[in-house]
Amino acid sequence: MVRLKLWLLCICIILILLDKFSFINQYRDYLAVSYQKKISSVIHKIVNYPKLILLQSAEQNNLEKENTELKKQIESYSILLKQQNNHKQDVEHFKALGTLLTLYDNYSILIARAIIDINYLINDKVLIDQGSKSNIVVGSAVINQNGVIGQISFTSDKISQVTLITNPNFQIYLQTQNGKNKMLAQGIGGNSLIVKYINKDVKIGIGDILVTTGLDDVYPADLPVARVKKVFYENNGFNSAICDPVVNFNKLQFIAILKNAAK
Amino acid sequence: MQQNKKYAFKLSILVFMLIIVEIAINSTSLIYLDILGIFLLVALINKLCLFHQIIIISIIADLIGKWYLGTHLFTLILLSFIVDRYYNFYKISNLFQKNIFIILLALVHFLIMYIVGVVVHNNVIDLLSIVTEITILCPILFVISYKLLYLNPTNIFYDE
Repeated sequence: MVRLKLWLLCICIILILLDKFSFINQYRDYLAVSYQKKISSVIHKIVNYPKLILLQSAEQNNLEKENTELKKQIESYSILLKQQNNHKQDVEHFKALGTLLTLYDNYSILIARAIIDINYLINDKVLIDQGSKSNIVVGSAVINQNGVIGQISFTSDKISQVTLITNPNFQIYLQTQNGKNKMLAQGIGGNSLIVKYINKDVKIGIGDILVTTGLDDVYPADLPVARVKKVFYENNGFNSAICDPVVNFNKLQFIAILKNAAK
Repeated sequence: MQQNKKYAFKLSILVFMLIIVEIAINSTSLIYLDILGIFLLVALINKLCLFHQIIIISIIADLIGKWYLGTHLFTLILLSFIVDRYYNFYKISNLFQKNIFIILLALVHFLIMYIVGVVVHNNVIDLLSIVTEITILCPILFVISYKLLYLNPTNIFYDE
């Protein structure tokens, strides 16, 4: 046994020297380095996996934040775009109103801007951005390029209130477009008017436009006011008609306030 | 003494596990542990392995631990002279004494390895690793080997 061990010792010494001074050492080192690299890369991945997940979640949060910011930006841009479109419409409306200035010699015309708010839906009244400082007086007519809007019912320094033609407190004399038949219109709320005292002989149909008479010294003659929606007979010997206003109050932008110069 | 197949299987599994642990620790930490070297020492002193098994495991230990081929075997053969001499004393010792004996042998083992390293200019031994191996690794490997590989009478086949 001792002899065997001595032989093995000799073999070990030969192996060590062979390993030291031969190509085996290089291959061994190469293999050792390569497997160590692979192992260290695998271990690195395993160790850093939670960090990777955290990084991904952080990145996801950042992306979500960025997404919300982009959505806000898109919303703001869309609002700007809408405003720009509205501005174009405003310019068109304003130009159309400008043509009114030349039509009515007897009236002084002032242009104001309507402020659509909750008041319009509840009371059938609209505020405008001009007041008594701009020489607006109660009772002045309010129109736009489409037709009659209403009448000034209240003024303060900087704003005024317009009672729309659909307001139950508002009454106006109307006539058919040929000017032969006069009738009385009154607001009934809900964006409608009722026209009373229509002579039964008058041929009036759905879709006909009723215009101002010009007899009240408030509105010039022949301004469109209402479009007939429904005609029915009342027991007092006259016909009545339910009408829609010609002007779309939802899209009010610029309005003209007419003040009779004779007054 | 012969070993049955079950024992050889357990031994190979243990060696495989130790190889993985050694590679993992040496690749990821600053300390350099010669786990297979310590296991060979425990196996030699407890006579857990046959001679050819010790030769194979020592060559694997050289390859895994980046020692020159034959370094572990050279050290173990030198240590076997001491072990043969004190084997009876070791057998009658208790576990604590056995541990101390293994630690002393491990110190001699490292000394021989260090001398071989100095001779062939491949000195990779550092103090922290040696202290870790002696204080932690030796008792642990002793207990593991004792629990897993210690031969029951039913596992032993006597030649004579």
